[in-house]
Amino acid sequence: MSKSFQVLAASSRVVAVLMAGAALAHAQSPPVVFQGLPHTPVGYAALQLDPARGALDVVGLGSTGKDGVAVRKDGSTSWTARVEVPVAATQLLNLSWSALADGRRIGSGLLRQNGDTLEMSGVFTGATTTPTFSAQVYNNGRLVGAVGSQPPTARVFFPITICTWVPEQCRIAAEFHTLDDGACMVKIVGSGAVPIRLPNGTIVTGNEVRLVEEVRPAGHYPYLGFDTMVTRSDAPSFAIVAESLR
Amino acid sequence: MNRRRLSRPFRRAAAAVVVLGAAAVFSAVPSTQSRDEYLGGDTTVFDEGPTAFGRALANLDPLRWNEFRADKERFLRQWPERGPWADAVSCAECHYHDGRGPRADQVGGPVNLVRLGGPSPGGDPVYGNQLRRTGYGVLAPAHIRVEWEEVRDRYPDGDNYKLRQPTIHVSELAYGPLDPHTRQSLRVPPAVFGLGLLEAVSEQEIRRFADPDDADGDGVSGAVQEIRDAATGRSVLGRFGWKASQPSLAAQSAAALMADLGVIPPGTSSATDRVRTKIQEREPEIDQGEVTALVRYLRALAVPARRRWAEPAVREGEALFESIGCAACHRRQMITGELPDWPELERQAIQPYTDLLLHDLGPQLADAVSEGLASGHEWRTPPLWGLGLLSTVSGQSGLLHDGRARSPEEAILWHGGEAERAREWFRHLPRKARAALLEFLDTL
Repeated sequence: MSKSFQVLAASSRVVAVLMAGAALAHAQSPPVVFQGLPHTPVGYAALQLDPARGALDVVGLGSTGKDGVAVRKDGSTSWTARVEVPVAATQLLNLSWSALADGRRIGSGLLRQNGDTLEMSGVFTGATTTPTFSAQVYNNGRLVGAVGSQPPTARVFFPITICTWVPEQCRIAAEFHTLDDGACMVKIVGSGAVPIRLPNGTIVTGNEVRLVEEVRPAGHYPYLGFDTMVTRSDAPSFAIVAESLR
Repeated sequence: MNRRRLSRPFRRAAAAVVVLGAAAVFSAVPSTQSRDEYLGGDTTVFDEGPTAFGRALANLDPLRWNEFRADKERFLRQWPERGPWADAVSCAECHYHDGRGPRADQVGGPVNLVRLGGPSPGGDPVYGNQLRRTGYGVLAPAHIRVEWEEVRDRYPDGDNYKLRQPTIHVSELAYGPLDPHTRQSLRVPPAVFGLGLLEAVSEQEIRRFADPDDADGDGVSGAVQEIRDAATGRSVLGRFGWKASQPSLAAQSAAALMADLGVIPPGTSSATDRVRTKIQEREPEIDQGEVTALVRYLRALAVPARRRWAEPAVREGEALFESIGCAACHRRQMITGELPDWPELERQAIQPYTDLLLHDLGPQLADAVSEGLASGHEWRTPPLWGLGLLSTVSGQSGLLHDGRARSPEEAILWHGGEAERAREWFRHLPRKARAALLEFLDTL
């Protein structure tokens, strides 16, 4: 090559050192092991174990809805937990749970309070164009209503009394699953049956709502599972109880 | 290299190219080319994220979906049985997210491998045609370290650039020294999407572009790789691999299973060397069904669509790509032929930006390893579709056979031999025109 070339030493190890430094710069409060699973705080959150309640308290959250907790296990296909979120006149419930694979969100469930009503929505990323999902309502395990081909903007509405109530707190079971056909499903299970309004306006009575991603094979991405589950809220704190990730 | 001598006329010519290119943007190009973004024809998917290379064909028969998912599991899984010498434990370890080799910190395995060429077609008598790094139940064959040497140069307009080239350091050879005639070549695992479409291109279509004696006098030849099919004994056209040494996805997959995972697909040849024979005796044979499933998975992986293809700067870059000669080898369009049982892949107008032919790229890229009819100087033109998404998917974009080029710009600057003239055109383009050409490549 031309005589103006200069030879410089370079090593890929330099890159590795820089990346390690960057990771340390983002380090926050320490991870904890809960239910045998490694949990990491997200954003400004801090984690506290409460062995007496068998709970993981996620505290110190900001109001952005971006703070929470991440639990990691490679090759997961199912996450279930009971989430306890404070609810008050000045603190409306706002909760999301998202599954990630290799750092990319593959699906999310969102619960948002509006007065005495909760609205539930889902985000799914498997489709190559506009994703759709089916909204399904179950009552004690029996399908009582469903509507398909719903766009990402569709919502399911139900009264906040679907939660198990303790003073100023909603306790609800949240779930995420990847199904055998590659679809993702988000699900909530309440304590008792309530009237639930599907996106098409149909009202049925049930205690469980499932939003199931619709797989149209052409162009779809075949998610086989996920490795991380992130739960977030804009409440000052929330707790994870009876968690399972497999 | 005679850059100084070429400098002045190239400068004048480059200015002409820019004018011509700009004119093409505003006059010659029809205002509506709605198929431009469909690089894979009707199979094209729309995804700009990390999953862009892993989606099913956009026209996939729904009945194939469950197989596709199961085949992906096979592609991702740690292979239950592997040979005593291996470079990886799964297909996905090297073809991370169905893309090129992963970033070093993303997986435990190597980001590249060392191909061996030697006195016999099987490579080195002891180590075979790939120097594996890992031993399972036996000593690891070797320790391999790659050192990168950075070199600096400048464009005629004074802009500086840096390139890098690898040096392979092999040590701790556990089974004796390499044969004195054995040559080493660093290789990066290629992306695996769109391969079904390339397989569906007919031999006749590929031969149409061949010009081994440069009969048209454009300085670019392009030779067909001819391979002897082990099963039939017939000569067939090679189209897969860095030197087009494999004629089909089945052959390519079988070769990768053997070389990378150390398993033996049915009907593959055996070694004659004493050490190599002992190793091969312990290599597990896998069922033909496993190879078939992997081939089925590869055929079903779609090509992502272009982005920003209609922007004026991109159009200008596209015109320059054609006019300075890049498209002589990186041919834009092909039509697929027939592929039994895969109607989704048939009769598609695709834009892979390759001719699937062998070209002499000069001494700087030569590796002294010949494969079939391909000499050390010759390489198969790699497809450019997905180029702008490599970094998003794999976390790195090491281009060329050994990953030395950290960007398309560096890759262009390494081109020599038949591509030297196109490279010099590129070097002599004004800065803005160079940027436009690179902008175009980023949309692929």
